[in-house]
Amino acid sequence: MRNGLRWNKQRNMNLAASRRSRKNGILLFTLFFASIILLISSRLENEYMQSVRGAFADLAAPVLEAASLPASMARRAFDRANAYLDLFEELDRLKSENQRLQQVAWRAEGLERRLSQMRTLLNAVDEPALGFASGRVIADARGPFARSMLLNIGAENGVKAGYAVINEDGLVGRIVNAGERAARVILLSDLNSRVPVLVGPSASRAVLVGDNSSTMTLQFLPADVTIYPGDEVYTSGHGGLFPRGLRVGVAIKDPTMELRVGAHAKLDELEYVSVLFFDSPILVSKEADELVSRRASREEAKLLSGAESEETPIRAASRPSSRRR
Amino acid sequence: MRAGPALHDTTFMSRTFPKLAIGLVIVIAAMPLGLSSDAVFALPLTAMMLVFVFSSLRLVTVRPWFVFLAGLVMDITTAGPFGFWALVFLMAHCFGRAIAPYGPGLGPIGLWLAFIAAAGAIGALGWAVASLYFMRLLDPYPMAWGLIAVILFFPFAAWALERLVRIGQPAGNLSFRS
Repeated sequence: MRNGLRWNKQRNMNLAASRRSRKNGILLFTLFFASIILLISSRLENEYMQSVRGAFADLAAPVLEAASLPASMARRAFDRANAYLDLFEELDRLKSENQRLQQVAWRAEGLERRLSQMRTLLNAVDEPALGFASGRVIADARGPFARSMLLNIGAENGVKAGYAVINEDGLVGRIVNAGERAARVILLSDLNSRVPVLVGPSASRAVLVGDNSSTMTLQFLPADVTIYPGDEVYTSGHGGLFPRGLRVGVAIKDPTMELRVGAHAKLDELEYVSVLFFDSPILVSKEADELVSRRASREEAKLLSGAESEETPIRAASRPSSRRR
Repeated sequence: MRAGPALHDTTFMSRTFPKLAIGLVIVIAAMPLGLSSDAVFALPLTAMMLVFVFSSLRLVTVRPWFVFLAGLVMDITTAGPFGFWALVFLMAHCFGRAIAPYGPGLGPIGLWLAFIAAAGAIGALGWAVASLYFMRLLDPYPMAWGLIAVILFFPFAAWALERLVRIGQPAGNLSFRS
């Protein structure tokens, strides 16, 4: 009798365990399936995914901002300790650099004078100054498959997707996603980064391509062009995404003697960056065209209805109010 | 990592601590630490290692949906393909659960070897999935360096985590699932 009861109890326990394990198996299968579906949707660049990422970035921004403070303080302390160790070497380097820069400044003054004379002769129009907003890097999303970062400024500061991001050394990347209070920047070294550039004194056109490593490659260089290590690389402005002439990097030879580009900006150690409010001229003109056509159709409708047309000024895409350079 | 009677008391260290530890590593992975390009896999793979360890410990309750959500959060914070880390963490969870019944018999070296095999399989599968996602053969070295780092770190981490989750448990309690 007692043996029978024990056997029944054991049987019930085994049944419950097998039911639980089956349930777990179904749950695991569902979650694996969901992961694969999410991967496919992400690959297809589903808009809903992008909005989820943007919303999450906004939500996580305060947490990440608070969490990043000790990390950046520790990094600064480490850098300072390193700087103390290399103080004398740094002093020698700065002395020689200062001598070189004095010569460069003297030459630059002369060139500036000549340029101003030429501009007067040509009656050239000055390019408008670019607005910008500066922010701090609050999260380093340099994950295995992406080289990006999160800034603590967003749409409410005038940041939009597509804007160029720079620091004191040069171009860093561009905004890919702007939430209200946070924005994601794709770095030059990211696998998906493509920047039209000019290379060297001959200003040969090329496209700077990231491959998730610390340096970038140049694609679509004309076959007859020779690039030397040390040649400067800067934005060409083609395509209208970036303003022309932003410093990007310098041509280098990697250990396999392949030509690559090292960014001037230290992409691994970014802390403060600025977002340039540069609207693509194509987009601006498209918006202006849309406004003109809208106004024309409105006036036409008013004329047909006998009403007087109302004057409304046409404005190109407005720039956000911010500090001006 | 000892064997013993199959007792299981739910404590803060066995129920909440694993979730907090995984969450903390995910937040640290998102911090601007200035790691070099070759070291970027190390922190996400550390989170994967934690999932493996906690899934193999008998005293700990880590549910698959938590593992999945942790992976999704990692995907968002690292701006990678959505669903990639969820898939990797789920694989680590399955491997952890699969070796759990053999845990007490394996011993520390056996457990380490099991993790090396699991990490190798997960790394290879992850690299294949990522290459398929980006439609090009990705550089395998950063993933390999990250795996080597977590494999070397595993014995210390597993030993420390096992002791931490045992805090508050009766003396004879098993660390591994039975």
